[in-house]
Amino acid sequence: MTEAVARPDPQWAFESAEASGLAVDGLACSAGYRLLFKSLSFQLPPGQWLRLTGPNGSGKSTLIRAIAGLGRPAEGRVMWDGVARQSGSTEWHSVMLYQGHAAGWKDALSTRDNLVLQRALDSGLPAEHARSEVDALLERCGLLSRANLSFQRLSAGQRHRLSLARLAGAQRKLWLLDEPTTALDSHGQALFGRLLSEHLTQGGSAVIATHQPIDCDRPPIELDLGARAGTMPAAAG
Amino acid sequence: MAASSRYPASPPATALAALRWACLRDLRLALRSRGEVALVLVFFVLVGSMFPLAMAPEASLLRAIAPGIAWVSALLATLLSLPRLFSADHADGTLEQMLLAPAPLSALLSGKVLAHWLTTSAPLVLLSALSGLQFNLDGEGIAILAASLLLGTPLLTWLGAVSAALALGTRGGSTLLGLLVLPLAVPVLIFGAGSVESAAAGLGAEAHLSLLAAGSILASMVGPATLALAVRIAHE
Amino acid sequence: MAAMNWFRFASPASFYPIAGPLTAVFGWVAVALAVAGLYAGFVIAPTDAQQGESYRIIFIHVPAAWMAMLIYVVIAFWSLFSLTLNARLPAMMAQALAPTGAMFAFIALWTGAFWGRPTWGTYWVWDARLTSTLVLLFLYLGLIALRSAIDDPRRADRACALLALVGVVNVPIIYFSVRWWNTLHQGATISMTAAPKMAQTMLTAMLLMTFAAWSYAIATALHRVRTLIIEREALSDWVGRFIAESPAKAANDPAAAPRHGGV
Repeated sequence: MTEAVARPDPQWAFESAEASGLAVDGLACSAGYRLLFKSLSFQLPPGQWLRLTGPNGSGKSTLIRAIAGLGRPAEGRVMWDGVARQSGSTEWHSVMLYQGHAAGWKDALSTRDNLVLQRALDSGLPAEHARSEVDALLERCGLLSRANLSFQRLSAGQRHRLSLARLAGAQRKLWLLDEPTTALDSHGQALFGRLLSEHLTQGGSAVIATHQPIDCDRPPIELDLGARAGTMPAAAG
Repeated sequence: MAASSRYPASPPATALAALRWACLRDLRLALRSRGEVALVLVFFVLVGSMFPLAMAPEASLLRAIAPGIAWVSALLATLLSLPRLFSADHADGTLEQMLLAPAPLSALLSGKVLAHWLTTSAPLVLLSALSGLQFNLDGEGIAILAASLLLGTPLLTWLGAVSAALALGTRGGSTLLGLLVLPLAVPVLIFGAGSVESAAAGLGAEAHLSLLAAGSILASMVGPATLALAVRIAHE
Repeated sequence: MAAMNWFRFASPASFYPIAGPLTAVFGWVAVALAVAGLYAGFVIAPTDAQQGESYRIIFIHVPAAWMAMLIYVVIAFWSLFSLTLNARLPAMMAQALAPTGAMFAFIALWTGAFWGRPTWGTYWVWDARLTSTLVLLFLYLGLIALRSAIDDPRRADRACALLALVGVVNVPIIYFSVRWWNTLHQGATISMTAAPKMAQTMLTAMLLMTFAAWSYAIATALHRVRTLIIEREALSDWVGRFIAESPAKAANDPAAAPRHGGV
């Protein structure tokens, strides 16, 4: 199995013929006038996950967003299954799932309605979703009793559980998650660990930015953007 | 790889399904915040009522300025309602999810614009009859005014939507939006208000109304892609 | 072959060194043409039979109005490049031209007012061209305002580029709608098109002033672009080398000091 390693220097050989999964080649991102990181390369085969750590402002969110296609990297490319991924294309969007700091739920709707709406969008908008499917997901994440409550009445931890319910139901190969376990209690974190393990077993992969330990049966590939910044060539001027 | 085939590929969402999803969603949300929607309509009537108070409410003078005032009030009311189009979805992250959804973004955004037009401009068309009465317009004048608003507001909504997307998350707020939208809205204003005056002068309003209709149709064709680009730019 | 050479200057790093001398060249050309044009317009050109001496203001008004229009089109052209090629330098050119365009629109409006007063007894007329120039000024201000409202420079580039393209499509529509509105409501008597019949010297003076304005616009845009390049590329290697290699030059060169938030 190819070892996925994050190296600071772009001497990374890219085995394009067989590479499946996510690959990042020579990525550089800036936030405004500040260069966050440069020459970032790694490869993430199916069944593996990458744990992204680093102090605040080191570019974790920016990296995940750049992979998802929300921001344009200053340099470099993102590949999926050996081909440059088309940012903004529906094919890429059916492969990956992104959850950022903003959870993506409407306060004015009930928990169930929110999940029904999002599930419809996630699965390519077929006609109607069976309520029972959604209820099963809610139950798995411990939210069934809150199903009819307006979303804004949920606690922070419960709101994050709804994102877990979405993860559990969406059939996506790549998860791009920014601090998914914040505000989750120990049960919630265990649940996330289980979901992640199942996902990886089924051949999925994940890039997760987090400060907290994640209880998953597979060890992650570690990428510490803070430590990496120290090995970068000093910025000019 | 056998493992990755456990994930079935989702069928791509059709544009119509995406439009319907977004439109129904926004209509449902608008229903939950009826007050916000109604406020815009109240503003329209309020602004229109300011003018007679600021000048002598002499009947023939009012009739002459009625189309202009109705149109300027409609413009300002539309401007006031524009932030509602994207700011809530931007703040809670749902706009981001729409950007990353396996559905055509231009269709999703068109659904939002359609819902916005239905909740903001369509009621304005009906309320313009009230404005017409306030300003002593005759029946034909009111009909032409309503028709001009009906045909011109789609174009206005598309111009406003693109501007709102470009100004998303910036410091300027609604004053910046006004600076962006109002110059672009000048032709709509001229032909919209001009249609009623032209009809009143006996010259007929067909030319104006057809121009407005053509503009709205063109905007609806070019708008979705432009708006999708603007929303993508706003998320960089 | 010649085309390949030009693309060499498409990166900010290679454009910066030539922009400096070019600024000086265009600047001096502008001064020379302006002196010649003003002399021709204010001294040589004959007095107009109807409008007397006051008509001479059109030697400033008309070139300013033309430049205001032309610069907007040029901005749209650079905006198209910057969006389709995702390039930085065209976006910087567009950013650099906007304030100059706004200035010309403003000058056109002011000089129009000064012309109107002695000619028709009023400072402002709702003439088609003046009104369109007013709307054009607002379009420029919108571009500048949007630029300063967005913090991230690349996002600001693309947002302003899209706005400029939407605007440029609207500019002819705005102009024709205003002209239609104007002919309907005003007679043909009050109109900026009632300029005095052009004697040969008047035409020469007008052309000289137009080219002077053009040259001035290029000079100021290039000067601004130099500042923008340094500001934006401040973290890249070539800027560091540039400052390191020529410390005395860098000390004198105001463009080398990074300023945050250029217009």
